[in-house]
Amino acid sequence: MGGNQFNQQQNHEQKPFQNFLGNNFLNDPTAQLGLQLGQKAFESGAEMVNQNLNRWLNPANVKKYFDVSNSFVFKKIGLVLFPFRHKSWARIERRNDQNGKIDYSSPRDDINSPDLYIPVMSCVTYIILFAITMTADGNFNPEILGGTALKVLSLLIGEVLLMKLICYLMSISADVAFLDLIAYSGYKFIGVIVVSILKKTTSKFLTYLVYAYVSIALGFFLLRSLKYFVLTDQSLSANTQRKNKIHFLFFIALMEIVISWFLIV
Amino acid sequence: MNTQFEYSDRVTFASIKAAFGTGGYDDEPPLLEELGISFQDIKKKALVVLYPFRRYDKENMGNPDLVGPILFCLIFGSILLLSGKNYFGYLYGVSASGSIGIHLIFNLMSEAQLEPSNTCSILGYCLLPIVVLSAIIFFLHLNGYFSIIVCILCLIWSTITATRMFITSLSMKDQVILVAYPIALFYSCFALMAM
Repeated sequence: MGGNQFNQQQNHEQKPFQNFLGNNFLNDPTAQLGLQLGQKAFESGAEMVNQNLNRWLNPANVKKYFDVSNSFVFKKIGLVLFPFRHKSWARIERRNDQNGKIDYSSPRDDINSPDLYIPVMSCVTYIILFAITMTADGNFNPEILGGTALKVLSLLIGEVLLMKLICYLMSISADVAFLDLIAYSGYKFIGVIVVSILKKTTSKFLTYLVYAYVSIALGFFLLRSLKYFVLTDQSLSANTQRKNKIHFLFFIALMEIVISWFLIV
Repeated sequence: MNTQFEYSDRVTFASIKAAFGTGGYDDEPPLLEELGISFQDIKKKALVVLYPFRRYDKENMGNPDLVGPILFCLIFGSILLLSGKNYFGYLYGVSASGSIGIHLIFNLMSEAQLEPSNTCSILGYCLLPIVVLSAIIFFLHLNGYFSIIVCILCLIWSTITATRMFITSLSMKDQVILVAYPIALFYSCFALMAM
């Protein structure tokens, strides 16, 4: 009885505060509306995060880039180093059994498909090779490993972000997948490794000669294979748009060549 | 000794005596067994790695333990320390990042999934040839071309053993070289430290 009275008294004194904390909080229509709105906002936010995360880091999606076989890897390395005789650069399309959507087939069946195994492995190889070449006196210092890894990683991230930014600024269709860009920016390490080994073992002249050849090959490879990403909707795009996209391709090829020079020196 | 003892939460004189004395309880399992450390097991698995031309079955890789790998890493680090290289931190960094990387890549490459502890166990036990290498280099004072040859031999040995174990447990047939390459890179870091 006494407690009830006390409650009522308090109710009179601090009504808004009590409303916020008391029993009738959930029965208040305004509160319910707010609750519903909050829930909805949270749900849609979570959905957006999920969608974005799925688009970039979906395990099934990433797994496709690692679906490689022995023969694919050797053929692909050969293609990056000697791309001039290759005829067809179009990727094989395949109907997905589950949702009926048209999809690109995995690297195992299609040599023109980008993969992530070669970029990752060649990047790690470059880091270890760099650490070895830095220790000419035979005293290996593991500290270089971490430093080089940090340098290479930041370079790769910056490069991919720059590509994405330019894609956005030149209003090139947003369908250029993030992982594809990572893959194509990783293929330069193959040439870089070859030139680094030559630099350590042979004369300066031969090194520059091979660097020149590897750069031309890399540029040719990138122009040819990225063409199928960027220049997809030929009928829709206007003439200026197409021109923009071709400029973009040349810019990417040039940037890769310059960056590989920095990695070699 | 107190033979009539029941395990309970109560602290009695007998329990204090058992904890701090040398006797312990009669029916108590040994400490190593309670912690799950079995040197017999570690020895058996180490011998599997050291005989490179034996067949592997999945039983050998089942029941992964991390005590053996940590033990080998500590021995490796101590031998390096004896030759004046304080590489414990680098060992930790390289083995942790390498194991995580290899685990991620193999799970992405194959249909079958591998537990993280399994990956670490295989990689750690196959480090054994490199540990032997570091001991050889330290105790025989090897240098020059001969040490490089021994180094490459141990590297190949480690790589082949680990590759065979991964291929049997992940059942990857047409990716043998692709499995061997990251493992070779991983062990080459350790071999370079030992040189």
